[in-house]
Amino acid sequence: MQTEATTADPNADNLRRASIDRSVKGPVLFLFTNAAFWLMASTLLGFLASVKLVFPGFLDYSFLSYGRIQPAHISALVYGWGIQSGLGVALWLMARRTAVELKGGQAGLITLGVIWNVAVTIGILGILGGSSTSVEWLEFPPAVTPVLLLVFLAFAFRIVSMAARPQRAQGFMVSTWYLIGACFWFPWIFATACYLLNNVELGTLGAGIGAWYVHGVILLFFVPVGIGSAYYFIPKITGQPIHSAQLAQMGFWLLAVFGGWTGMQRFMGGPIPAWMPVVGSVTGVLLLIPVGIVGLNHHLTTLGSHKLVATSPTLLFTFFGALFYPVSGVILALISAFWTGINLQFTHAWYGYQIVAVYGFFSMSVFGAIYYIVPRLAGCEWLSVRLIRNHFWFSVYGIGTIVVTSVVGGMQQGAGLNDPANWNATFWSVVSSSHGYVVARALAWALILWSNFWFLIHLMLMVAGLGRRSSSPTLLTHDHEELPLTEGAKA
Amino acid sequence: MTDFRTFVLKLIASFGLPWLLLIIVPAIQYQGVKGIPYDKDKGDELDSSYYYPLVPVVTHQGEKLYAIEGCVQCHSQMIRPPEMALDGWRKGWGQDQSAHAAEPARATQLRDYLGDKHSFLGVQRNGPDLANAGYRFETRTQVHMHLYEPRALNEWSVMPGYRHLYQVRKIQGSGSASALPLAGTKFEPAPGYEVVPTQDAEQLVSYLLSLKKDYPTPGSAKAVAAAPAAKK
Repeated sequence: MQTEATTADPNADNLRRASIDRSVKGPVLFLFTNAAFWLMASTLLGFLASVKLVFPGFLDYSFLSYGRIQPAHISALVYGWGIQSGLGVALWLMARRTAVELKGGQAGLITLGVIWNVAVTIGILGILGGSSTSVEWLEFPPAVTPVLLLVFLAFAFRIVSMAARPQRAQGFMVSTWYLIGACFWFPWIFATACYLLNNVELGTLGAGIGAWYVHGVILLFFVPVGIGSAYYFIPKITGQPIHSAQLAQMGFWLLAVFGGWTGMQRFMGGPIPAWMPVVGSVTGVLLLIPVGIVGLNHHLTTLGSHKLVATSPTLLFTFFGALFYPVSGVILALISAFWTGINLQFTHAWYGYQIVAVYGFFSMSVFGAIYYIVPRLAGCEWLSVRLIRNHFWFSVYGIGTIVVTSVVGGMQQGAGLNDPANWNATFWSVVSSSHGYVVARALAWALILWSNFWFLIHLMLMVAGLGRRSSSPTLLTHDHEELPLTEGAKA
Repeated sequence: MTDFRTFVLKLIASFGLPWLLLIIVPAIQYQGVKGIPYDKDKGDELDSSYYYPLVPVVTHQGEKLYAIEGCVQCHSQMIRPPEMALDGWRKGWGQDQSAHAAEPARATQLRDYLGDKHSFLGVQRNGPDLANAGYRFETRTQVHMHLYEPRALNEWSVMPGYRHLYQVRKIQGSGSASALPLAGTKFEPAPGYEVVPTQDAEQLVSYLLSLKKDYPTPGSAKAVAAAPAAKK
């Protein structure tokens, strides 16, 4: 699907790609670098928050108490890293897919990027400093949110307008669909939630809308960007077309139809009209269908190319990101179905879901994209195979640990809460049952912190143009030996 | 171009439906939700204190502090129905604080939260539910002690202490009446000093003590007995 046999001269194609890359270079690299910084900040906060769940007296300052540091950790992950890096990937991908160069406005986009980062900084400091609203994922002081919305809209407008006037025959373009979807859905969800929750008295309905917002951002921004990226890079690197266009279409539309209904099951059994959690529960489970379809399609596409996964960093990260997608779907189904959800409600399992979706699935896909995009924009190759490997293994094991301990720890916690034998016991019985898991989570964040630190350094060296000067890409082989082009040839 | 336009229209249709039906219409309907009189037939004899909920007045300043400190990260405010979960039976989670409550705390309902801007139903339960925290504490000092140093009451507690809501100051004269009784505990301030709650701490405590949702609902036997008509 990715081969463009339109021009006779192969060199013309390369030149065209290079000029597209040049046109988006500034904004995309700016977004990636700042996002990587926020990712590290979020990892550090995540580590501190998990430590504080066990040792509340550790670093006992008012601005670092668990109630402030935990939302700061998630907000840095979502707005600092997730949405920022997602916009970078979407901008580059869309320019490449549609062959539309970014004509002017690069400086403007970078300025908007600066504004975004300033707003996120103010938001995080606001949470730590005592202006949190305690609406999940919208803890930022309300004044910050319109700024974030406007910056996002400006980026989304540039991205979508490329798709509206493509410069080449489209063929089947499922990754474009996902990206347009993400650009449409996020501002819609964000504006609705911010307006309603900050300005209208909504009682318990407000809590339900907050839960809908979190699920909406995951399912209709992070998931589409992650899948869009995977649908682009897997065929690109393996050289196989997407196995089934029909499956890809079905997966997209089922996600689009179910996504918006999901969220309120978070308060099942709670004081909101009963049909709302029921609808969310049903769609939360039905989402297994599009998840399965996308997973199957990826699986059939990569079938026979698994060797490449071991050598191409992009494919390695994308592949594991794509593996985390079904995992996140299953965890969502578990916390959504009333049967299991009642036990997992208000436990660590909820944290596990957020991390598997935003970090396990989305971020791994974006790492894959970054390993592909940055060399093409910076004009040099990644310096060290070891650093990439390091980043990969620490991330996979770290995220795996966090997700497993959160879900299993959540099951224990929920069982403790709902065990009739505990009705008269102090809350210690519930708290202590998940202590071990929280310690493991803190360790995992420390490992990830280590890997993200090197990822940030590696990325900054690349952006500074200090990468390897070589015509061959950095592949995950034992040495920096010159290899026949596999990835670069299809670039 | 037409492809693009139909695609966008489909996007709008697929997401617009849940947006309208799940979010916008209920949000508008909610604006019309009012308290219900205990005894509808004799409604005109009722004064506002007999409206359901009994404690609709939320101390907004305290609620704001609850948000700032992120209490919701560890404390829910939602009792699930007894046929679904154990919440109502847990000791101290309802109005009846005795060791063997005769019946479970009732599940919380939409109208219990009237007046909240957006209710803090909960993120996780790393601490006990607070929907009925108002029944749990006997004095304001107890709550203050808990906020200042949770481990003064329960050694195992993993709740952070909110020292910044309290002021350690030199004792003047015979000392402040609101000073926390820390004497003899590990957390006693230096000799000649006392720990006094700030205005913020008082607001937060007022809010926590106002959390009482386990009162009889209209139509239940208890409610009929409590209605003013029955008193006459």
